Amino acid sequence: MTVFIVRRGALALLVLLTVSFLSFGLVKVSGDLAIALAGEQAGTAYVDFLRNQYGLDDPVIVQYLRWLGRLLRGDLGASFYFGTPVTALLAEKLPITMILGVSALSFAVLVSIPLGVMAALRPDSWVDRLVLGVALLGQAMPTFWLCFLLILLFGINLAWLPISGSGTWAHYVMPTIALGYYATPAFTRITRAGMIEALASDYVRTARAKGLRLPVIVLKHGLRNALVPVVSVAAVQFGFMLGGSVVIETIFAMHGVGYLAWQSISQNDYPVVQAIVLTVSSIYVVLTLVADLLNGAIDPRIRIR
Amino acid sequence: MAASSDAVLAPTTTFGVSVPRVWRKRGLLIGGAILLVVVLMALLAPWLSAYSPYDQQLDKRLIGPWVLGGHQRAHLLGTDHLGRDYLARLLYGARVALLVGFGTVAVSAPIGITLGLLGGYYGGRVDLAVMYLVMVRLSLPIVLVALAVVGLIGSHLTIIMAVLASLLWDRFVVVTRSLVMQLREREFVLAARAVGSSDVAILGREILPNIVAPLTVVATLEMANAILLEAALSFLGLGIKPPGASWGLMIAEAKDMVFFEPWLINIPGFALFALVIGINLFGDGLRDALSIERSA
Repeated sequence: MTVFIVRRGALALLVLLTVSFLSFGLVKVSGDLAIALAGEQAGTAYVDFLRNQYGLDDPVIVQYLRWLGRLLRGDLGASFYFGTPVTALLAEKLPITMILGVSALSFAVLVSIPLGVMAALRPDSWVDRLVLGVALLGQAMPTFWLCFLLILLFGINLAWLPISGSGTWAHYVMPTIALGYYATPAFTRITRAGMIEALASDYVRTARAKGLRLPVIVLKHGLRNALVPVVSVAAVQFGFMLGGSVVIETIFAMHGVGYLAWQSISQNDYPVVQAIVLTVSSIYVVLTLVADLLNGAIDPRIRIR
Repeated sequence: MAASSDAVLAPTTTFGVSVPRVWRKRGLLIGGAILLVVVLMALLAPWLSAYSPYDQQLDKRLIGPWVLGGHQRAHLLGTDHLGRDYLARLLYGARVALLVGFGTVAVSAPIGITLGLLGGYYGGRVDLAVMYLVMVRLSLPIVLVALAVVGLIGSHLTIIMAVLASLLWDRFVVVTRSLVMQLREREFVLAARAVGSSDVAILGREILPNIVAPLTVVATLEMANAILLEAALSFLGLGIKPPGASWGLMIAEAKDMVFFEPWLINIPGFALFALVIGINLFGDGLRDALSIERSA
């Protein structure tokens, strides 16, 4: 187990370093930082002074290491547009996106696990076909069209829910459905496949032979085993959701990191974009690492691979 | 690593395990029909509509679609806020969608399949390097990175395709790699090695033909993915630029009118939805058709 943890951890660290280098490169190629700092009207002398002052004429690798050093001390630079430290901006916006991500993930899991189990109990029945059909439709639904359909139905025709902002829990309902719906096909399919496999296994046959009731078998013996891959998918999907919430936050005017990213890209505020890419990537890497270690702890066979 | 690869594999391998055969064939037909309609729309755009997708007729703004009870038969799908014929914009938008779908996969498939062949066949350090690349790619949020890069270097159609292609190869790697690992020790591969075939010949002549069927599914999935991503980029104002005709852009331009003229959003939204469904059904059906042929 220790070898597995060390190897898996080292790989995650290497991936994080690569991602940090890529996001550092993003700002590097986005234009001359010295000019951006000095402003459009500044004279060349002042620009040169700033370039020297900030070490922008050093070799790229030196600049990267210096940037990495600051990063490790929690300094992500300042936003060109807002003028405030990027970390402060993130601390303000991240909770909104995190709440949205967690509720969307919960929504997806709560909808798809019962669906997957129902489909697995009677493979090839109309229930199964209906569930697979819904999964297929879910995959094809463009997120932003779904958002507008929700707005038309719940926001305007029924007038049940507010259509923009993030002030109350009601503001989160439609974004949660829109973001979570996209992940339901993956969860449904993996639950269904895991459940079919579990129900065909020896321990379930034994449980049946012992005369246990079907709900007990399904919940205690089937679902528990079928849920192992769901944990990994949940980690991956949560990462995708944080990155994908940009469309949803823009439509519902929720001021989380997705909206901030979109705003910053439009305004060429690349230090902020860099920090957001880095944050979302890091969360993904850490979550998948934890999921893999958990799986390794549950199932020793995984450690060898 | 197991977690991420399982997750990526999941949508392609667990789907359709036991979908009845009749339904699958129906899927191939329905999907093929939808795809054919969209291809014809794109190819015949100039002949199917009397209007240009760019010509503004400011005295004819926001005419309701004739098919939904509008009063102008000349504009079957009505006109948008600038008086442009909506059918013409939809038809030319189909060109962008298909071009992005095919163009992206034409580049991303060779990248991903090559990496997958290398990792799966050689194993060891080569495989470790390949999986490291996949992990890096997976940890980058697609929408954010695509937005950032397109925002940085411009939003020409070719740039959009290049950016999407450089982000959508991971599933090809994971699927190819796991299939090659299963085939690597099979008799026909060992036999080819025994008679002295080169690695390139083994990979190209023995292994590749055997994994075409599952790779078609990945190709269709990624095509659909690319189309949805382009629409999302254009919707967010960083994809196809006005006055270009892209379904995502059409939705973006209509979003302020969602309360009054919801059809402006529903027409391109439905087109996008139908095309993606069509591609997915066609891909699943094609995989089954190909694998039945092989097993017969």
